[in-house]
Amino acid sequence: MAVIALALACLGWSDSWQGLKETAKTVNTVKAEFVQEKHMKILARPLVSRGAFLFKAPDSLRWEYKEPVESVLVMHNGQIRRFVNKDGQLVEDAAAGLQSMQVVVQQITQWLNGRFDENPSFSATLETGPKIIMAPREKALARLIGRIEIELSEQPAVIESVTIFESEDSFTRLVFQNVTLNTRLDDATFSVIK
Amino acid sequence: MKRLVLLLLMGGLVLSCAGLPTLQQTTGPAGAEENPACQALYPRGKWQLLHTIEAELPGNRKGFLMGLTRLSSQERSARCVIMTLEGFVLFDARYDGEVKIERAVAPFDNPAFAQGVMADICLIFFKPMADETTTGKLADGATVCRHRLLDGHVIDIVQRGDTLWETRLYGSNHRLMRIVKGTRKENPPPGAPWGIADKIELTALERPGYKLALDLVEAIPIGPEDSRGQGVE
Repeated sequence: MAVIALALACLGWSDSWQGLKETAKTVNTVKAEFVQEKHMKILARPLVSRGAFLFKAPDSLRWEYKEPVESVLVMHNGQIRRFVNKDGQLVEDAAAGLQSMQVVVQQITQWLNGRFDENPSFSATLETGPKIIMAPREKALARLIGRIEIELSEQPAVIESVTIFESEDSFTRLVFQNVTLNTRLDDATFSVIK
Repeated sequence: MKRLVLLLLMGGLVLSCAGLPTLQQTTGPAGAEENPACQALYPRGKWQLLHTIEAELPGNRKGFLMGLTRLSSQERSARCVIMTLEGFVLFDARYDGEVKIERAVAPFDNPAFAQGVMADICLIFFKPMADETTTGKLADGATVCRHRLLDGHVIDIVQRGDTLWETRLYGSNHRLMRIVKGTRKENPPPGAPWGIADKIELTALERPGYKLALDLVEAIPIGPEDSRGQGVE
């Protein structure tokens, strides 16, 4: 293990797919805040949201928006659920949009496990920056997502930002801040919503 | 539980059978436009509105979405984007007399859905293009502004105090099709555009029927200053 860590330190954790996977193995939990900007040509100004992002390996995730609309999306034991603040109370959502979110959340957990290059729907390219560009393989998917750009931090195992391009003038950018790794996160964080 | 379902069904039946009520103390078309009941209910100028949408669908299914509406009252044009709460676009269409879908993900990719969304947006945000407008009062004393449209539909705007109003759409057979309830805060902050509701509830009564509850997140005036307007139309 020490040898791998040393090798990664010399090479840079994000120089190869193997480096990314090996580094991800050292991460059990991720805790971060985020600022999300939705850009669209028609918008007078971007829609800005803020929240918190929590991950516990292998596939538990909590994606929580605190403003402007409070909502919590959780995935735990393969089950995805969303709760929304309605008149001061968090109520469960059963929207049709949740199905598409299942795909997105599964994709994110795959990234957090370092498996950027293992998605059959996207081809992944590792570029200097360091940055990963993911392009859809199928035309049908390309109509929905043009590409995804993932900027990696110099800090091992940390993603700095994710930008999802629906088209060139419509994209969503999430910038992660105050990222901490391997802090203790109880399972209840991903299943009990309050 | 069965009793409750039966009651709800009976309630729905009563509502869907509700016909066009007779107006009392009717004022003719002359001067109707100046009646306060015919004004102040629609955003004037160009606006970008962001709402959370709680949709109640057949089968007791509920879901939450975000709705972004960019509209121009002068041009009677609108762009509507429906997103997940995380900002992923599920539906994007424009209306300028005709509906054009820019982008749609299943199950939002049905042209009939797009037509329905835009019809609801027009009902909520645009002053009716009436062939004839009259005013009067309902049996309960509420003031009504009645718009008779060229296609035979009727839109009643019912004022219930300063902070609540209802838009009621009747078909050409005078059967009630849609109810839109708009509410404003009792004490809106200074500068708040008062043609824009804080909460909107739309009930579609014809089968399969649905209910949308819109909560205003933000309202941004767009375009040059003189095209915005903050008041009535």
